[in-house]
Amino acid sequence: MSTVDRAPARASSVVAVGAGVVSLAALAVGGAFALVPGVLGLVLVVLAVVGGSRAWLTTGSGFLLLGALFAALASGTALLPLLGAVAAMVGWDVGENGIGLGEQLGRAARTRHAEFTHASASVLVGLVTVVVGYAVFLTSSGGQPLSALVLLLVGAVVLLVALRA
Amino acid sequence: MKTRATNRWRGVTALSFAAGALGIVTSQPAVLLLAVVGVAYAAYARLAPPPEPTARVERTVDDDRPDRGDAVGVTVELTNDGDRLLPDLRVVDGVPPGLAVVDGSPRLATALRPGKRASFSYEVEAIRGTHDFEPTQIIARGVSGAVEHEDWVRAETAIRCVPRLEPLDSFPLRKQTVQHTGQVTTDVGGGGVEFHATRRYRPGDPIQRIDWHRAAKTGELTTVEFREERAATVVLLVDSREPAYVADLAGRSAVENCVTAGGQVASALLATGDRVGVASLGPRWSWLAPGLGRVHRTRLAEELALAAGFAPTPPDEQFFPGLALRRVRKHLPGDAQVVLFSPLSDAYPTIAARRLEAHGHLVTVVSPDVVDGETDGAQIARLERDDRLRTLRRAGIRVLDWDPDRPLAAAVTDATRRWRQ
Repeated sequence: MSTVDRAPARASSVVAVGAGVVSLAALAVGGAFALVPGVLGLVLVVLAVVGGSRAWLTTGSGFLLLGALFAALASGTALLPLLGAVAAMVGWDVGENGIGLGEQLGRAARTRHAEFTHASASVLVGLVTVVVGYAVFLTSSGGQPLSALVLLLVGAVVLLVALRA
Repeated sequence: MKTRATNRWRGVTALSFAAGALGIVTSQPAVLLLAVVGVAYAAYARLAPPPEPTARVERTVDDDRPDRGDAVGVTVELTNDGDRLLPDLRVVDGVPPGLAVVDGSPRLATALRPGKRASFSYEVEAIRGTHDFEPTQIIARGVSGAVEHEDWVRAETAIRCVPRLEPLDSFPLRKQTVQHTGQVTTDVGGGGVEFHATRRYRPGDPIQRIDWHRAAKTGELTTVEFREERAATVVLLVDSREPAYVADLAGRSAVENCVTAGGQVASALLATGDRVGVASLGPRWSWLAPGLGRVHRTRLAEELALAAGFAPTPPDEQFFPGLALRRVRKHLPGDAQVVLFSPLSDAYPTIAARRLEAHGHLVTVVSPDVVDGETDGAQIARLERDDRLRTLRRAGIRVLDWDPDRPLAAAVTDATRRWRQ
């Protein structure tokens, strides 16, 4: 039997790289400090979806997220770094799904429907995160911003623990 | 059915802690805010509804009785019987192990709304034998991909491919000695020595051969002539031991060549009125006693295509050389000629051929030459095979050395010319 081409699914790879580009563009707000890990991350993401490597994808997305943290640190603004971090997450999620589809089904299989459903759900979650997170940031920054946000974080951790149980 | 966590989101909360810690250390609310991202996706992984195993598969095959080499279309249809969306449904159809997919892919990933169907098709190339489809693998994931169901569904479908016997103009058998001919004639005489022609009576013709009906009607004496050639009994013996499954560089095994050639020789011999049977020389025993006629021809084609002794995949059973040869000899009619089909990949077939010859069966060896390439190994294999061919010829056994890339008929013509000399 001829061998099956196990490269990552096409549409997912394109979306993953697109998300990486969006992420990089967003964290440009942090200047060179954020762009260095960002560019490195994007290059790794591109290599990962070409070669079908989960480890590289995770590393690349990690660098993009690091870039987002640096951008937030350097610029002090919230919206664009948040967008950058969310885009990095979407890129990782969609890219990993594409690699999985490639491994399981091969490139010759029709996978569009599943890919788009997965990608849309991921983007939707990302948008909700950006909107809600930024709204909380805006409302809380009126009073005592940092303590409110720390409380928010503690709440989030408690929520996670509850979910894990 | 199995349900398991894919663990693909593992570690996403660490992101929150990293951002949180950095945010607190630097007293930078914008950094702290990024902790939200990890929390949000972790929650998404946990809260997204798990998949429901509500998919059903049906498989249809264009033609479950194809000829060799036909492309057979296979269509698989998926239906979501549940009342919720299946966001990520992956299907891998169980293509029979012996068949190669030549067009399309036997796999699909899709999202299915309740009550909807999706289908995919692909083509496989038929090779001889019965091919049962294996279970279809269905993997349903939730939208976040955190949990998946795996299920194997068996849909009973089979493709049965019995190739027609390929034609061959003629295949020269060895001349039978007088005593054998006598036996053969009696054997065939009852069933039907073929009518040939009538001619004018000549003095000396045997009285039994005069057409008396005609003499009574017209008063003329005519003699009925039968076909001069006497039919032989031939058993085609196919080497199907594990070493015979050597393949050429294209991956076609020598047993495939032997079976094809066997079918051609059978078709040539049956056409000239010889009685033809088949047997396997291998751990798996298959036997069809020599016979004649159209029904026998069909049975012979089926035997070659489907019987375990000629299976396209190598046997797992252990082979007992002495036992196998005794079994063959026990079944061979006393006057039967043997045509042995073997790639001669080891010494055993030469021993078997000489042993059969010694027991009074006239043996012809048809050997497909599947040694390909110019590597050292190939050259040694070629030398060894040439040596075996010589051994056989020295023992007075006819050998037809056949390159499977050329038609068998050409090899037969060449060999016949040499044998006549």
